[in-house]
Amino acid sequence: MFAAKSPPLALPSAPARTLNILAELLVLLCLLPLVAAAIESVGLSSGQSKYAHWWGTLRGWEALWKTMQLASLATLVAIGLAWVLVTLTVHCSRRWAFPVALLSCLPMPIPSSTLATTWIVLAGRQGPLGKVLAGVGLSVYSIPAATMILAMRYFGIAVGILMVYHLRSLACLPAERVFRISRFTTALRLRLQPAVRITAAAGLIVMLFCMNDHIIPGMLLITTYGPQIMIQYSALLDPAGAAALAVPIAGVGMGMVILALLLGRRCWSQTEKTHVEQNPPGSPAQRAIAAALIAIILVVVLGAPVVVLAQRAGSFSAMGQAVYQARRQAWQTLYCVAIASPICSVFAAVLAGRWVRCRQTGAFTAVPLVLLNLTIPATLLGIGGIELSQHWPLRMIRSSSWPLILAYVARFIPLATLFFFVIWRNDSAVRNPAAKVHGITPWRTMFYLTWPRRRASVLAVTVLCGLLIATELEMSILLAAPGEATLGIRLYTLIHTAPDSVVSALTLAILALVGPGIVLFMFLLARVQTQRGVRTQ
Amino acid sequence: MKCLVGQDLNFSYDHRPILQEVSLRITPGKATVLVGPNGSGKTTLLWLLAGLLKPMDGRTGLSETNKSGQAELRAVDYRRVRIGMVFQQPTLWDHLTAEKHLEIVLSGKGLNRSERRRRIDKTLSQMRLEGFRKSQPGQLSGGERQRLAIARALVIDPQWLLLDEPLAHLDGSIRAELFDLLRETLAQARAGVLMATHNAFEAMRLADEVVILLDGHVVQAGPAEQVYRQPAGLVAAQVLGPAVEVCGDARGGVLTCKGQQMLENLDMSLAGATRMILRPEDVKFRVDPAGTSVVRRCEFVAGTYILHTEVAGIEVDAMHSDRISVGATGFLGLVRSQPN
Repeated sequence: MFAAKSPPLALPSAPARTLNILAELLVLLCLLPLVAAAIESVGLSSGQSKYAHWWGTLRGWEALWKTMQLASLATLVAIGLAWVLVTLTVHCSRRWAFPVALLSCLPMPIPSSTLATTWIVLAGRQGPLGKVLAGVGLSVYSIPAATMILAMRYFGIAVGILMVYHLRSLACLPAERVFRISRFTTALRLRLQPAVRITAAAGLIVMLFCMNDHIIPGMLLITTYGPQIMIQYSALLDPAGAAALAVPIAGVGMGMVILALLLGRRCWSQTEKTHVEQNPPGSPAQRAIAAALIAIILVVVLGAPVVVLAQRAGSFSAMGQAVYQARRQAWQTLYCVAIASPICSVFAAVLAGRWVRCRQTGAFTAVPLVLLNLTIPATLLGIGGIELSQHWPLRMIRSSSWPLILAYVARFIPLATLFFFVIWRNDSAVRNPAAKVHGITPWRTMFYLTWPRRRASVLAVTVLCGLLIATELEMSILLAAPGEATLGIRLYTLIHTAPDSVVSALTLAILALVGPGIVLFMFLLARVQTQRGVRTQ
Repeated sequence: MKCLVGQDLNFSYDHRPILQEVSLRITPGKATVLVGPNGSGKTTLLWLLAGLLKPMDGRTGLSETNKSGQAELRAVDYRRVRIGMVFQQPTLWDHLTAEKHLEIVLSGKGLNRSERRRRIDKTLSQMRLEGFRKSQPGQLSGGERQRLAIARALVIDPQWLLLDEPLAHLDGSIRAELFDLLRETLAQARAGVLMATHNAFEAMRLADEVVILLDGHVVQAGPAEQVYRQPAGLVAAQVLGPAVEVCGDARGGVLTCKGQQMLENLDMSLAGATRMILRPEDVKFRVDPAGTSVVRRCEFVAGTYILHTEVAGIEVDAMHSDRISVGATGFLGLVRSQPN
């Protein structure tokens, strides 16, 4: 609440000025696809507005209603799971908090298409769970099934947010105990009441992710707005119509993010800090229940599907065969990852650096606007990308992989920027001026002071972006040039054309490729935490 | 009269001993101040007495005199006893207003609404927080937050008041103002007070009894003046202010060390090997070109001069009313003849 601002420093040096200009320019470039899609949606190219088609009739509203219905249900389940997990874990030991939050986020880097496929195999008509579902009158192609899969995929976000909040609220625990406040009052007025806002904020963020996931509902044949956009664009060849459907819903998404920030803002500006000695010892029973719950969730989300996929795939040679047949797509995916993830990381570092400096000095920056790209559906960025690639200068590269690579960069830069901002925001504002005062040149400052401190976070973000790019599907379908399909596209195509065994083998192969990346990311994240001085005990 | 007692308390954290065989007694209506450097175990001792931690060995309890006139120690029933505590961090609830902070600690204490209202009004007024009734901690300054933390501890009319460095995060005039308010409030309260601090000046102004805690041991306890004037050792003396230890041979009112006169004006009855702990105000400097003591530095501090002198290889500080130039020589003498 009383965040101290640094006094305005002397005029920035020439490299800093250049970086500042570059950062603001990057924001503009990142927002270009969104602007292009918005222009496309007005129908300037086709000469007629498509908004009336969707929003003047019930079509658009029905799609929005269905999307909100599914996303709300998934959010309720995700928040419920997160609350149980956080309440159990946070009272055990601080040592538990970080690994639990990480494990909960584990399903997120797994491609939506892979996750949906595994569940279709697991709970489809021929799958081991299919008969059980049929017994209660359900099938995997239903809203309850889609709700559960979406909830299990995104509940890690809620776990992370609630965990941070609860750990901070523990600062007041000794006061509650010493003043002998009753358990009921404590639970109601000191735990539940203040947590309502942050829970709502976490819920809105989870809901946004669920809304923007087109693949899981699409593959489970739930007609949310995502599949409608794909149909409009790919089957009806009507990009303006697709954009006219997506733009207002993107507006809803942005509204949700703003609301979440408003709700969460007061929760982050707490006056107390948690101290290790203030963490109460947890009971062995609590620890056991928490561990069991995490294990159950991970087994359900990851373990069971993997076992079923392995059973369907048959053998390792089948997996090898699947990878061999998909070698072109695998190389294409690796190529995109190798180029796009470092670009994402470097540009995001520039943006986050600018954001942090402006926060410390109170100066204005447009960098937070880049987060808009994270709040809108990926398909909208894809449509914007296609629109841009029809004009100079992108027209020259439209038959290459570059439009897709640039779209990946635009999509994942916000996440990388946010990640860097969160880690670097408390860096001392006077550290670099201190180096300057002591006569250390900007390059030496960069290599000997800044880089060693930020190396782990830059590598972690590069790996994270690589994982997300490798598993991205929505934009890939729209933007991949002919003959340059990625692994995700191949899997998506095979689901409709190939036998279960081939799909299972390729899905397992993708999981095996993504797995080491996730482990590396976790390792780097742990390093980042250690460097920041956030020790588990 | 019941006293809150800690008896032979031992506590370790991560196999590191924090408190060893610590015994302490808090008497109602009296203020006991725990003084010690950071990490000496003050907070842990307070948490043990508050029932927030369990001692690994030893016990906490209420000391009572039984029918036969013998003192016995009974376990503290923390549900019944009223303990007010101010933590090093204010540990306030960010979503509650100042008024609600007091209300929530009074809830479930069997008080009717009007009594609760009366106490809240009285305490807010006492702590000069009437204007901040509806303010949340985030809207208060550091000093106001700390006042609210103190108000929360006082509103329950505590039998025992535990204050853990209540002024630690405050500076300058706010600290002085809050200290005065705290002193006034404690004078009115009937509670037995235990305050932890590392500020010796504040400790001595507030305390009926000072307890010096060093590395988890109580090294000395007693009235403030006694502990200050008759420290148990050099380290204990240094907790309450600057001090130096000198050794030598006393004869004819003069202390000699390594063949040089170190101190004069001693008690004539002192003879033979003598060890003394000296504070700057115990020592005076007499300028004499033939003196054995050399002024190495002269500092102006709060209306007087502190002379850092050297004699027989030992640095001794002395207070002086005038500035003395560096390099001047003279003799050091005791201001009072009774050594520590």
